Amino acid sequence: MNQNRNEISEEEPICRYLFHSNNYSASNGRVRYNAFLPLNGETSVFRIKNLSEEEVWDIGQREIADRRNKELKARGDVIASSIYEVGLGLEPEISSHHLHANIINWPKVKSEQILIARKVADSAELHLNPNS
Amino acid sequence: MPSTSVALDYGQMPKNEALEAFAFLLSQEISAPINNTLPEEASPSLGTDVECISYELRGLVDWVDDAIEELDEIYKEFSEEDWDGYGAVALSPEAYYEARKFLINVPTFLPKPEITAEPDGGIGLEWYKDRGYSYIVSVNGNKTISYAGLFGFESETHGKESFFGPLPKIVIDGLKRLYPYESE
Repeated sequence: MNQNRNEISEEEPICRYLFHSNNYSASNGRVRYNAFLPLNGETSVFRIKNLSEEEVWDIGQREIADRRNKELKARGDVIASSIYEVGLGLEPEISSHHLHANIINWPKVKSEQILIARKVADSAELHLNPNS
Repeated sequence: MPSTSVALDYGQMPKNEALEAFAFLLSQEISAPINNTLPEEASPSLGTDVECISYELRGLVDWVDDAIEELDEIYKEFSEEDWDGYGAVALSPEAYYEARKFLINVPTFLPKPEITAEPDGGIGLEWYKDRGYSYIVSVNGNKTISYAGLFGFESETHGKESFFGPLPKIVIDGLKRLYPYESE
């Protein structure tokens, strides 16, 4: 049994904050695959269980947008199970924030990464930042 | 004043003939006086007895110029590191040239793909039909194409092919699989 899987339950909602419109299609209301592609073997996400919408946006704004001088444009929400189902893992990584985590266990082969990222993006729900 | 109505069923014509007929029709419209009608005798085979103008242009109008223009914009915009806020690599000129070469050579029966920047500096071209139905081609300036396709329940493919000259057949076949009717 994957230990990470024990730490983040299958029902937990996870979000990927998006800072560029190339990562989503607002007109079609969907997240693009490139939003979930890993860099150096992991994809940075946040755990958002039991948080209000305002709190979710606030984390993205304070923890990433403000620190990196980016405009928080949108986010893609997925349930953890849709990440586990495609063979990926979720690992809490709390050095920067207690709700931060990484999507891990990405395959090394780029084409397989793309395929899996497409599947994760297919299960994601796009939310546009109301304050953007 | 009677209006002229022309319908061209391009779907039933070989592509060259269809293009020729369409070019002829355009030239007639441009050169004809405003109040003139399309000369039925000039092109009796075009079926001028139909009442509405219906230009079915899918697959005939070339979207490549638009796509390359979009690619140019994307390349300019993503040529700086960390464009995504997570440390993404800047797009390289080599990736740009490969994406451009792919677009120039891609069959025009396809619709225009979405052009995406990838965090490792690659450029993706995605044909997205619906959830679970898409085909993605990715280039990274290393003379290879990574491709991934979803074709519905339990049907998927992915792989890598060298990209020196023409588009790999396996990629064309994958795109035809996603767009079986358009490719006929």
